[in-house]
Parts: sequence; C-alpha cells; structure tokens
Amino acid sequence: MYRRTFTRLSLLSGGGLILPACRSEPSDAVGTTGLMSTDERKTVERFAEVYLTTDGTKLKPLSEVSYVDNIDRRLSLFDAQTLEEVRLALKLFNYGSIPIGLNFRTFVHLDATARVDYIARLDDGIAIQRGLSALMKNLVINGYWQDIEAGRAVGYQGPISEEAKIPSLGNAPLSHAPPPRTG
Amino acid sequence: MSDPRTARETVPVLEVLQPDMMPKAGLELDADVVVIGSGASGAVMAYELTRAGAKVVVLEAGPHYPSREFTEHLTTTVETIYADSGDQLNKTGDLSVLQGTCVGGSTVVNGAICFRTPDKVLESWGREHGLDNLAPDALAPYFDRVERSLGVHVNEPHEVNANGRLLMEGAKALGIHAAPVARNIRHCALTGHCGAGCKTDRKQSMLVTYLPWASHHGARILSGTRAETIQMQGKRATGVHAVATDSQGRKRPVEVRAGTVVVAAGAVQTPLLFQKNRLANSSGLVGHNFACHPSVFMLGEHEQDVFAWVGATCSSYAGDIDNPLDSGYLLEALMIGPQTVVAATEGGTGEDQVRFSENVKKYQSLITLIHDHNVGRVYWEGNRKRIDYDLDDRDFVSMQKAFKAASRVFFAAGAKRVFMPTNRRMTIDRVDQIDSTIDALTNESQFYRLFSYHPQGTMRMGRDPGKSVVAPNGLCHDLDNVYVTDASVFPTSLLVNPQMTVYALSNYLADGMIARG
Repeated sequence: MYRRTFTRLSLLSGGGLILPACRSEPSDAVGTTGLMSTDERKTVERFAEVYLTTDGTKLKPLSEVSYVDNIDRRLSLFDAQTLEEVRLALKLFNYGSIPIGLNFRTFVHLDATARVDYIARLDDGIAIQRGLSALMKNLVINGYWQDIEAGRAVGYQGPISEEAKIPSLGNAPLSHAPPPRTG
Repeated sequence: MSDPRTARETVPVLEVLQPDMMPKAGLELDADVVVIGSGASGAVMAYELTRAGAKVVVLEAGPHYPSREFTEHLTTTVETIYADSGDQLNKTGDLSVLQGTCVGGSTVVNGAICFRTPDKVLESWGREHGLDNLAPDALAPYFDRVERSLGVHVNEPHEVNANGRLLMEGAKALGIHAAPVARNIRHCALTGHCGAGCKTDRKQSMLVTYLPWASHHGARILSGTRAETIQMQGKRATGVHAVATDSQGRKRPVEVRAGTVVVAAGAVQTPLLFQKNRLANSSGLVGHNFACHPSVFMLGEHEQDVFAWVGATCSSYAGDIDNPLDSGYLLEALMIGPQTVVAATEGGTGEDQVRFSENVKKYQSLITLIHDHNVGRVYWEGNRKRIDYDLDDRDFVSMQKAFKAASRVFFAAGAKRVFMPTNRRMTIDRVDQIDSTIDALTNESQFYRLFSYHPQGTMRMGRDPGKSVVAPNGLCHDLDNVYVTDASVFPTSLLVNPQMTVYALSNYLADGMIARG
C-alpha cells in the first residue's frame, strides 16, 4: 500500500534538507493581514501566472483579483502549527526545482515554460511532490474563485436571496415540532 | 417571491447565550441534563428531553450565526463556521473532513439530503454488534416522527434541476436505480446555496427547528462554549466544566452541574473529549473505527449548458442503496458553484485550466459516496487533534466501481468527456476507455481530491463492552450516567447521508432515557 509511505510529516522533515538557508522577510503589502512574506507571495504569483493564464479569455483577469490577499487571509485562520507546515511547503515548492535539474534555479526564477514543466513533473512525481503541487493549486484556485465577480464571469449568479427579495420563513412553527410522548 | 406562510402560528425564538453576554466571572448552572453539541444529535436530544420536563443546558463550541447573517458566499461561510475554517484534514493531508462548527452543527451547511438507514446496515448492526434493538421496524416510528417534523419530502418535479435530470436519464439508460432525492426543506427557493447555510430558513436545519423548539420549552443554549472536562465521582458524572471564549478572545469558565451528561459533539470531537478526560476507554476503542464515506466530485462535460448549480443543491441520486454492504456506492447529483468544481477537479495548467474553467456551466456534476470500512482513528498528538484515515484498499475497489458508474452515467446522458477527480488532469473521452482508465488507477496518497462530510464511528456502539465503547441504550459501558448519541456510535458506515440516522437514533435514545427517568 503506497498511501502510508509519504505523510505530511515526511513532507516536512524532507523539507529540512534543502531549507536551512531560506529566510522569510515579512511583506509590506498593503491591505492584507501581512502574514505572507514577500518570497511567499512571489511564489504564489509566479505559480498563478502559468497555472491560470486568464489574459484574453472569458475569465476575470488574474491581475484584477486579489487572490494573494485572499490566500493571506485564509492562512491567517490556520493554527500556528498548520501555518508553519504550509509555509514550509511553500518554501519546499519554490526550492524543489533546484535538485531536479531545472537549471539549478528556484521556481520563481524559472521562465514560464520551465515553471509549467516543473508543475508537470510534480504532478507525475511521488506523493510528497504531488502534495506540493496540490497545495499550490488549492491555494490559487480558492484565492481566485472566492472573488464573486470571477464566478459571474462564467455565468454563476452568486449570492441571490437579497437581490431577489426572497423572504425568510423564520424558525419552524411549534406546530411542526414532534408532539410530547404520552403514557 | 411571496411568503408561503399564511396561517398565524406560534413561531419560537431561538435564544442563545453568547460568551459576550456572559458575566466576566463566568457562569454556574444547574441542570438535569447537559448536552455537549447542538448539531443533529444534540438538538434532538435537547428538544425531546426538555419536552419531557427535563432541565437541559446545551453547550456548543461554535458560534451562533442567525440565518440573516449568511452571505451565500461559500468561502466566507467555510472560513467562519466550518471546523478549522474548512481545513480539517486527515493526517496525510489529502482528505478534507468538513463539519459545521456552529449552533446547529453540520445540519446548517449540509445539502439537506435525507435517507433512512438502509435495512441491511441495521440488520448487520444487530447481527455483528448485538444491536437488535435498532432493527428497521424499531427505528421506523422514529424516522416517521422526525421526517414529519422536518418537512422531509421527495423532490417535486420542479425541484429536480437539469443536473438531477441528467443523472436520472443516464442511470436509467444503464439500468441503474435512480430517483429524486428526499430533502428536509419547505418551500425551497432553489438558490443552490445550502452549503453556505440557508439564508431564508427553508432548509429545516437544527438552527430553525429543534433548537428553537427546545429553547421555547426552556432549554438553555450556550454558544462559543467548549466543554473541556467531564467532572466525575467514581463512575458518575456530576457535571461539565467548559470554557466560553468571547469576541475579544477572553475566556470565561462555565460550570454546569447535571445528573446526566450527553455527548453529541460529532465523530471527531466526541472521542477527543473522552480521550482528554481519560474516560470510558476500558475497551481501548475510543477514537478508533473512524469511517467517513470518502467522496469525490466527478464532472461530465456536455455540448450544451447545464448550469448544474441552478436549483436544488442536490436533486437526485443513483445507486443500489438497498444493498450497501457489497462494495456499495451512491451517486448524488450535486454542485455548489464554480469554485467547488474547479477546486474538486483538475482541469490542467495554463490554457487547459482556463478552458476547463470557462466551460464550467457545461458540466454535469456528481459526488460519489461509498460504504467504507472503519479503518481510521481520531486522537491527540500533543495538543493537536489527528485524524488518521487513508482509503483502505478494499474501499478503493468500491471507489473504482463508483468512478466507472459515474463515467457511464455521464456518457449515457450525452456527455462528451469525463473529468476524473485527480490532482493532475485526467479525462475519459470515450465509453470504451472507462474500464482501462479506471482499472489502471492505484490507491495512492495525494492523487485524488477526496473530501468527507460524514465522519462516523469513533465511539462504537455494541453489546460487548470488550468490543465497543457505548451500550445499545447510548450509555458508555464504563460509566453510569454519560451518554453518547451522535454519529460516533455507528458501528459501521451507512453509505447514505447520515443526518436522518442521527436524528432517529437520537430520538430513540432520548425516549429510552425518559423511560428510565
């Protein structure tokens, strides 16, 4: 059985092999919780640039969606341990391109073709690599699509009850409640 | 849309004591029964016991969100009222265990899907776990009672959307049983926002039914109040110590002295509470036997627009629910919105991802459920909760069966392509590729996009104290007056959505408590 071979913990301990020199500086981005470092934001942005190429399509342009801020806010909801794991995974994703021979460059320094190639390699890789790719996709997809206008661009109505003035029925009346037991 | 209520009726008010309203020094309360958790089980217990004359206090760890505050925006809802802001994962990190953590629990955010427990499941519980008291005939009156109260009805034709019709057409063409699903809803406005809470109170969740009813009859409901300690004297509980956390993060102690403790915090939190208190574990099984109906979304792409999110969140199902035990699977026509679709299925990178996303209104959408084995465990690792659950190889066979059935249904309904629920893009473009593609899949971690709304089984009920934690009447084998009544007592998974089983079982167990005085 393969599933037990690589757990999230093994992902993290593996990350320690190539990360000791990595440092994160707090971001000075405006309008966010400021949780993500500049490096972390850049990793996410460079991923999204090749993963969700919205220019010239029906989709809301990536540049008009605050997806990184959305990710930042989501991370701010994590407990400290989970947050630390995600941060480590972001670093591992960025630095993971070095040992697999992509010109010995971190992900953020790869050109677009090489970035796409890296993602494909992770997708076809072992569990730890698939997990990293899945995490990046998850962050970007959720960060992007939580913009209500992104949904509307593809025909999704989004919130509707207030606009359509659908009345609330309130709490169910007592006549619906089960009767008391007798006897 | 006009208000369908015409007659003047007594509408109960749900009174919830929130931490901000509590005295800074905390609270001390006396009760006959303290119920931990306000979801499907806790709410039914609270109402039935209060109605029978008991003085009941309900402790809910999550916040109270009145329906008017729901945003119909899934992300903000998930961040606000789902466990761990929607990031409650298994230890491997590839299965998301989704639970509502708020007043009303998961019933606030579920799809309102109602199935009775399959007879064969109940019969197996009797045969293998000594639960002959839960035979289908014994529980039937409880299902009747709850269904009447919650407006459970099979979807009317107008409540079956295009997504649901396609499932039924495809399944029937293949000879697979399919039908409109039953839901606990009245006058559904068909907004498709069940997963974000029903803003207009049409879904008959515990938030608008049993909890207001219990409140009306005198139950005290506390939100933001997490039970920490079950106070014991020998084998008898004397009450519960809890901690209320206000909006500023300040903590206030809450002490509830009670003659009976009912734990109904759900299949993740309930065993954790017992483990923290080192209680009721002579069998060594507290936290073991976790199951969860691991699920995936599958998509069939059509030439025409489907708009699968328009209408009832779930409108039909397909599968042999009468025979769940033999690699059983269930398909449910369900979609929540583009965000869910794109997150649940990988469309590819770059142009592939964009095309996949642009076509989102053309997708027929199904979720698959399987009758999984109880191979998981919930436990503490230091201060951190862990859900150790990986899809068992036996259950992967059921998963493959569900994948194949879903794929065939899509093509039979006219789809031109099927998207598999994998982390890298995988499609099936012709019917004759189904078997070879799915047979080639293996049970690997971080490969599928798995989620679960149905944690079950961590406080197994059974007659033998050596093989179970909870007795057939809901009492912990080891304790005199501590009951467990939520889905954690299920000896096996159900295959079907568990809310009706929890309601009926809780009502049954409450009746037993009342009869015993």
